[in-house]
Amino acid sequence: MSAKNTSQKKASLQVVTANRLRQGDVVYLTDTGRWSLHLNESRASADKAVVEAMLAKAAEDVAARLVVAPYAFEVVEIDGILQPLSTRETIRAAGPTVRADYRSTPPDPKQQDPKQQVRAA
Amino acid sequence: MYRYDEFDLAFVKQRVKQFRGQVERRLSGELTEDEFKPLRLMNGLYLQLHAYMLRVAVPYGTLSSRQLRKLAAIARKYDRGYGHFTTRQNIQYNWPKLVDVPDILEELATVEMHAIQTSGNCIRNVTADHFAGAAGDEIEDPRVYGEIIRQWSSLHPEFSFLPRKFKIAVTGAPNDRAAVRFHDIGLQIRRNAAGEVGFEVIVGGGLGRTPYIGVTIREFLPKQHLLSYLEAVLRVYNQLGRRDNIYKARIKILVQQTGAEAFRDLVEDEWLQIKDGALTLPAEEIQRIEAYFAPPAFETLEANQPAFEARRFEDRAFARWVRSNVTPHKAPGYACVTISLKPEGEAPGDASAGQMEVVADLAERLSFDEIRVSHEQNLVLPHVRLTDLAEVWKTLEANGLGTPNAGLVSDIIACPGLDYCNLANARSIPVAQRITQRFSDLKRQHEIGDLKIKISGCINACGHHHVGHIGILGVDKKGEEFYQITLGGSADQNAAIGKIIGPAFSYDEVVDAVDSIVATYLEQRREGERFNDTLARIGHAPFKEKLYAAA
Amino acid sequence: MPLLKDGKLVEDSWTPLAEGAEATPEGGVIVTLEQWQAGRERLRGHNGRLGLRLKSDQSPAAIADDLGHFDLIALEFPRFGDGRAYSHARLLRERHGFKGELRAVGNVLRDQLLFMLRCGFDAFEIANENAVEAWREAVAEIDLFYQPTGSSGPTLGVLRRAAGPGAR
Repeated sequence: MSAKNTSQKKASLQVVTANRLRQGDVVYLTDTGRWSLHLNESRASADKAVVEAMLAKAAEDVAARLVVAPYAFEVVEIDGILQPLSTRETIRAAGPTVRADYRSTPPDPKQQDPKQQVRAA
Repeated sequence: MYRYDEFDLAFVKQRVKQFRGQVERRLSGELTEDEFKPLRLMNGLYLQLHAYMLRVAVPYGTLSSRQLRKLAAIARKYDRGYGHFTTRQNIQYNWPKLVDVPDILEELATVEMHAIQTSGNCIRNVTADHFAGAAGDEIEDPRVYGEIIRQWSSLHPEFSFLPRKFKIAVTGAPNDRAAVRFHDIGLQIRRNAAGEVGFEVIVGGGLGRTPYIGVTIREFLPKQHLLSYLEAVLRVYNQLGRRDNIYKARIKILVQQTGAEAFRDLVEDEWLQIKDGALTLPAEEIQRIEAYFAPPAFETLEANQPAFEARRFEDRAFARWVRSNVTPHKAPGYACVTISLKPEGEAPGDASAGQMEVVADLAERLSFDEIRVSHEQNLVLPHVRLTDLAEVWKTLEANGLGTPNAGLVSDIIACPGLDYCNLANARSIPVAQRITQRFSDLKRQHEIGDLKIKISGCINACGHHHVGHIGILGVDKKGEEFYQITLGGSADQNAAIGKIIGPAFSYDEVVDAVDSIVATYLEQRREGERFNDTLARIGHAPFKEKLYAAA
Repeated sequence: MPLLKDGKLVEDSWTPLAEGAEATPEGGVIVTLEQWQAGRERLRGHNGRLGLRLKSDQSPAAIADDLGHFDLIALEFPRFGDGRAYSHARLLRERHGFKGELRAVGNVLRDQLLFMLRCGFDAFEIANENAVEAWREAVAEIDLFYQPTGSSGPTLGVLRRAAGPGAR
């Protein structure tokens, strides 16, 4: 089943992402306010006010020179795993699809093979 | 090749120190990201999909072995052990950390390299024919002028905040291997009726969202006026280029909207005010730079080398590689070698640190210490003796660099695409990989012959798909990756922009589509007809028929 | 807005002419191009000094013949990325021979000061707390230039020739 069909059935979940200013890594905002390298550790919410508060926290961290270029994007939860709706965010979470040794972080064992994820998206 | 003198070295060191200060002020908060962004772009540093990306300048695509070794060392020390060679003859690193970039730039400066103006709304790396100084059809080495323009454009105070990026290319031969008709300014070295050498000046070419073939605004510009004329073009553009819409801000839009004649008048009026002034190039200065590009001390050899011929006869694999990857040289007994960075199933244009070092060693021993980067994302050893070709080939083969596919269907140009790039709509590298796998039979590739496939992951066209014989443009159709195919593009002196063949193909269908197009070509072609010739003769219909036949 | 001139913060002795104002104040008054074009005759009779403020899309060619009336020209940078005023500044200095104060106004940032200086600006309205220090650092960062402009020191080319052959 495609990830998009699932999202039509419930309100869309959003997460907040950014890049670490000094290193450039892709990071996701968790519920403790920390930034994690792993999408699956991020706080996901369908509540607009919560997402706005997360973006406000991200803006504070931009001013504090921790991260840069934050934004929110949609995910769905499938079998307890957060999966982006867009191909772009899937690739951004998992690393380039073109060679396994180009991953930005050690792969999260819970995350699916990015090549399969992208095909399913 | 050009060697920095004490002044060039001092300049680069000052620029590195200046950037280090800018990074410190960013990290301390004195500069916001908005204020820092144009500054980091002027030093080639992007924030991309996964990480920062650093684009290092390789002026007119020329490297020494020492420089290539340093690029390898940087890949190892600061990145993930590889680099990507681009369609503008530069190299990109995909994983540097912002905090390391000042150190990277400092290391580059020790080998006379930098990342100045490889991004941003300024004058970018000047590109040139990758066979410069070796090609038999060359009038003069274009890199001499590439170097002169590079110096003039470095931190030019008037032209550092242009409406958009500005790309210049120079070619020294009538066979244009630098795509000068698709640059903001293209310079074609020409001889006039009196036998003097000068430039045809072509303005307003470009790809991207709205591809245009450049317009010749001056048929013949004498050499001494090169910089004053360029300054006039840039000054007109800086004042009149659009500032309200980044998609209409390139000079090609200004030329189209003003009209070629009126645009020429604007440039010539400005130029008349400044020609014969401080920017006039004295003959001694041109000669001084020419001296750096003097031909190496070629041995006097026979054009026919029996040992080489024998080896070619005995070894089919070697012969096949020679056929596609070796190009005649103006000096008898020598040849240009194209090192394919397009092995089957790999990302086009990527090279590991180890591979870079292998190439550097070969260049140092067997190519007068010179390497070129081609805008087709391959490397070139420009001056190899025919009798050394077998050894070069064996070494390349042993290191994944010996694919005999230069100019063939699997020698694909692809942008980084959605795997790396923030701007992309679709992936391009996997499409390239799958095409190379579909056409893995080298015999079939050589049978097909010259066929240029170019893939872009979005409408910005960094993969130059508009000028591919077969062009592939990745688009987003309702969240899915789809690919539009164009046919008949050409980047050389027969400049042409490809035309769309029909509805787009999905990620799963696109390789079959390419296969179908090639099959139609093979069925329909006459003796000696290259792809664009066949297409011109038979039109789109036969291709479409097979492509869109009962799905 | 602090005004930086000759490496120092100075008082701005100029006043912009208020919109629709009739009587011109004593002292230095800055007019816009529209005000100048609407009230040229009257303004030429002004007692004090006259200045002109140009937007980034207003070319100096429009007032080339009137330059003799102005002791100051202010060129706007509405966003620091709008670089038209760099060309306008050079044209004013090098083409039209303007010798008065050439002031950069608008989104003027420390990292553009050296470019501006080299294009002929000699006064800068800069919103920087440490303007003087920023200036000192900015103009000292690079002292080697490849391109001749009216307001640069010697270019690398000139330095090379002075150093003579064998300079490496």
